[in-house]
Amino acid sequence: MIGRRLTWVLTAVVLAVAGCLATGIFTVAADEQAVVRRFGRVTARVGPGIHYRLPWPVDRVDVLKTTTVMKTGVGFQLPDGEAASVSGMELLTGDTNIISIAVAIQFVIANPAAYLFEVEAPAALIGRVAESVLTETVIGMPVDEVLTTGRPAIQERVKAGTQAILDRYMSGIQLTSASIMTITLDSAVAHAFQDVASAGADRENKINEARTYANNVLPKARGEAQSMVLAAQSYREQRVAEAVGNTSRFLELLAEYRKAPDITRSRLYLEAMEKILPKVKKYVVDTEQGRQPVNLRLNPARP
Amino acid sequence: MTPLRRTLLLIAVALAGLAGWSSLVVIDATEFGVFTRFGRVVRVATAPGLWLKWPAPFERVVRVDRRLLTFMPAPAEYLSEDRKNLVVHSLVTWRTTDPVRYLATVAGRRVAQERLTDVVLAAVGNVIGSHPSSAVVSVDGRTSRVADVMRRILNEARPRILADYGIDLVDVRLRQLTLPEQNRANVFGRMQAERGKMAMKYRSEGEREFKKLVAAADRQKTRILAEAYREAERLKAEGDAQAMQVYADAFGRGPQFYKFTRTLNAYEKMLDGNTTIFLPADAEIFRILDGRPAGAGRR
Repeated sequence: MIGRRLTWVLTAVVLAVAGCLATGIFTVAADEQAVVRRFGRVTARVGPGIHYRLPWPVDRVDVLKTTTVMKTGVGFQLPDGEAASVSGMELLTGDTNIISIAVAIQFVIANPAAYLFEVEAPAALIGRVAESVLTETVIGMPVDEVLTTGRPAIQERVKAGTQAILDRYMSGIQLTSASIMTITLDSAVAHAFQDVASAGADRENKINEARTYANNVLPKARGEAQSMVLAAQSYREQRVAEAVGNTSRFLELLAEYRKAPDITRSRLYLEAMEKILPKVKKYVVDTEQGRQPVNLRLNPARP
Repeated sequence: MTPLRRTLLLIAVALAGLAGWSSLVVIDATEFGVFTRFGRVVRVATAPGLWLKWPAPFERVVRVDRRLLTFMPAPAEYLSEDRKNLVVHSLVTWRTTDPVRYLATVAGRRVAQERLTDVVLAAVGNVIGSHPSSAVVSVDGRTSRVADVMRRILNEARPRILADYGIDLVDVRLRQLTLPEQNRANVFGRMQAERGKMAMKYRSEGEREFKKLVAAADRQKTRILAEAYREAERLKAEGDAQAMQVYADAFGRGPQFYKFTRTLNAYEKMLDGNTTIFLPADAEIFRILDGRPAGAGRR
């Protein structure tokens, strides 16, 4: 009787112990790392796979995603950084201008044990440290540099500076990027800044306009110049050709004239008269007999 | 075994179990354990692990966070050496290094932060007040001078805090620097004026550049045309001269005959339908009618 009860009790105890031990089995996914603490002391860091630990209260395990890139930032509220209103953090530049900058930061957990046990709320700390680095950086730069060429330098310095400080704090965090999302200006001055930008564009436009003018005027002038020279050249050739033409006819006639001066002379004279006299009004006056000339004109308009 | 004895035994076992449980302490990696016997500190567990102590009423354990902790004191306004108001938002990171002293002086995190705030802000005030604002806000300083100022603040506050509270002040950082609300309007006004000036400068530069380029183009155009005109005139003159030469050569061979043919040509051009001429009957053209030989009359 007692023996049977004892058997039952023993079975129950064994089952209970086995069940309790079975709770010590845990799995670590491919993108995770786990840190095991035995009585509060870190004893193991384990990678992906099935692992065993002693049940509570002896061992405790914390599983962290170590390959997933996480986001935080400066100048916007949601930790995801997906907020629609990225307002930015207000900063003072070296030339005492007020601007707002929002920076998105990506990080991974490089050292899970440090991440878990060295720093309180390390993820939240990143943004604050980055804020301070950003402040230190921007406060030494003129506003124009911040707004234009300084962006890569700011990003680089925020990343490097924040990383150095987080390393000093032994946070176990590795930053993968820091990128400026927006740089905004107070509405009181935004218009003035925009006007400077458009003034710069105006200047470029004006210069381009002048270049266009020059590009238009000079080829035209060159064309005109060329055609002037060409016209002059053809004038020269024409004049010479005319002269040669005119004189060659004359020279031929002259050769003929030399052979028979009288005949040629008369012929030329008569040919000319033949051409001229039909066109003109003529009066033939016989001067020797002293008579009045007879009007031979047949023109009704002038009787 | 009487029921009474059985009950006593059970109570004894339960008490022993409780005492055993209470005499085991787990100190985590994130904390110190300070063991006190009736309020007096007897031992400090500086390493994590399983620790033994006397059971509950005799010894107790107080846990103190050993991690790096952070807090942000409320922004405070300071006057720099050159009388500029600056609002400093700081970030303080600290860590307990002497838990016994920590417990004796501040006892808890809230009080610790209050004390730290007092000391740190006083140090910030001292250091900022002994620097011109240009030590912090300047275009040529880059970060080094700000870092310098912050290091001075840290160095001033750190030894006191360590000695007084057993706290290591790890870092005091300038999280944000702003200007007092009443100065902002001024700053925005100045920013606007600066931008206005800049915009004007750009526009007048554009205008000047435009005029310069257009004038240069016009000048070049004039030069090109003038040169072309000179060349054209030279060519024309050359043509005229060459033509003249040809005429002179040819007509020089028979000047009389030239005069004769040229005159006939001139007649052809001069005399047209509007012309009336009177011909003497003995003109050469009629000479044949008279029976005289043509071509002989003029000689």
